[in-house]
Amino acid sequence: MILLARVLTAVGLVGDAYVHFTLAGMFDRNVAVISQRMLFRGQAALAVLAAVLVLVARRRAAAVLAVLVSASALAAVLVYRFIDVGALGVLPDMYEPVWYPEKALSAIAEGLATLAGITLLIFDQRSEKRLPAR
Amino acid sequence: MLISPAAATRPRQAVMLLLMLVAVLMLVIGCGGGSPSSRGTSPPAAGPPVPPVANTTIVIKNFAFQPVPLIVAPGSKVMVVNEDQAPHTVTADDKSFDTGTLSGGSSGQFTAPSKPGNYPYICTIHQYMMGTLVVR
Repeated sequence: MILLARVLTAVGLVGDAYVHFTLAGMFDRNVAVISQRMLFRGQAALAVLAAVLVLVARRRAAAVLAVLVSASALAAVLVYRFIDVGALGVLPDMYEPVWYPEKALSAIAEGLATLAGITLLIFDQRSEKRLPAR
Repeated sequence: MLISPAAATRPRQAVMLLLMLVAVLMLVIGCGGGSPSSRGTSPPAAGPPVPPVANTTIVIKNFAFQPVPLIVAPGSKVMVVNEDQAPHTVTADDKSFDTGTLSGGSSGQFTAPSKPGNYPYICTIHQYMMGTLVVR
């Protein structure tokens, strides 16, 4: 179960990274202090890093990072889909009140990574608790 | 056509003459190039020049409008092709034209204003996408 959760977390994060890398170039005109393009590339890089760590490092911290990266991305896509928050400080206005295939794919991937990451944390914690009893 | 007695007595020379005539004719046609109708092309007529077919299409690709600006005649139909997966609109700042939401891969059209002028427009979904329609 832990292995499956680990793999699903990584798959979700890679899907998230793919969409963000693909879309980044289209948003370079949406700029406040930093552009949406930079944000998307940063998100993609973080997602790839988290995916690699979840698969390779196999530590609790890696799973925590994966959940943080995917959950924050999911929160962002949902907030900017439904609420017009405008530009926030250094962030550009990313309000986009529509769904389209790439965006839906990123949300699904982020949701998958978040759920699988939380599952990983729960099962990881249980297995750690069992160890001292042996 | 009258054939001289000398030619009649020298049929080989007559055949050669005929062949040379045919060859010269073919050469002339060949140098002219193209179809007979294209030969003898005269300079453009003195009348008013025929305007080229105007581009009346806005293409949306990678979250950008092309071309900017688009120049059209008053009241002309403007086609909008959305080549992105994301939906977009072409909406005039003064609301004089609006395609409504064009889903990814679809197209629409609107009628350009009848009054000449510059008409800035945006995508209302991605408001950093800007273009200008020039009516003249």
